[in-house]
Amino acid sequence: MHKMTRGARLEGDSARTTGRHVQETLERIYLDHRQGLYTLALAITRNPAAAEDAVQDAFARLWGADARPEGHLVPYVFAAVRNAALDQMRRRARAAQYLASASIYNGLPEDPAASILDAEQHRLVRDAVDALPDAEREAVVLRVYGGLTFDEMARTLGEPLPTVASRYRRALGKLGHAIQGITEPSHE
Amino acid sequence: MSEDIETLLKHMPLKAAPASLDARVLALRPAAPAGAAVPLRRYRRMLALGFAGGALAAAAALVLAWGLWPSGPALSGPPTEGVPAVAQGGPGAGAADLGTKPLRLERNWSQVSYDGLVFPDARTPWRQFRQQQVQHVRWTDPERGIEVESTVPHENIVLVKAPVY
Repeated sequence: MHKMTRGARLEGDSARTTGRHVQETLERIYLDHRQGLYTLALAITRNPAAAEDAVQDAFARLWGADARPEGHLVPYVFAAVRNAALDQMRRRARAAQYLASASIYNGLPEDPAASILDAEQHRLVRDAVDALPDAEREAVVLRVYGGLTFDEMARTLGEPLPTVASRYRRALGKLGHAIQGITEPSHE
Repeated sequence: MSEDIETLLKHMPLKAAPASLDARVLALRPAAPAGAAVPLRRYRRMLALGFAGGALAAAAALVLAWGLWPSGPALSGPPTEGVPAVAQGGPGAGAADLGTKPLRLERNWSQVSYDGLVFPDARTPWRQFRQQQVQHVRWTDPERGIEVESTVPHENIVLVKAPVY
């Protein structure tokens, strides 16, 4: 998907990219997208410890790599985290068969005074997202929590843009059906 | 409708990326001071070895202090006798050589998930949490070519009374 070349040339940067520049860019991407990257890894592994390992693993590979793609690096970083998370899945298969899947969401709403209705609404949304097929959940995470455009999502997943976009819309359709009725009342 | 769902999703409380992740990732930068980088995949193993090593060192110090104490009773045997432990040395063992000594590695995974409301007496709402743990122990003795693995899952259900408004 990505054309590999020695010495990265970053989109929007006219200055010649040096190793140090790439390092700073990767660091900036990590700091800007750490929550999205972690959430993506958690959506794939469904295990917090494995997700943490996956992000670390991905950045070790990124910083150690002497070849990077041309263009915007954000999809490349998300793709690296995704691959590392899939590796973690394979590595932890033995433990995973005994553990229920961890959600990407906290168990309860952050507000301790949240009503039972809020808690149930939260649970419905969480269960609906958790019940999505893996590919659709990844699309939702990349778009909503990673903040990626459809083009960036396509590059991250290595798939055609229309495929990724329709998958995302299909996922939203399923979520809409699953949580029908709870989006109508507004608390704000 | 799609915008509504996206908005709803954005307001869901995500599991936050742990603070320890920053240290683990940023320590891997090439410019990081030597020794700051944590060897990949061995991080948890090293942590476990570190704890076990610390425990062994503390035990050794205790044994030494006990033995040197003037009125202290003699020990009947080494405290770890019969128990395979990390880098447990044999006769003439010098510095730990993990390549030839018996090795015990223990890893634990745990998580807590929320199952939703339950009504055990059909009236009072309780929040049900599920605590799960998997303990994986691997013991190897390279000299004798023995390798033993065990994987033990545990699960606890915790009910917390939900406030009713």
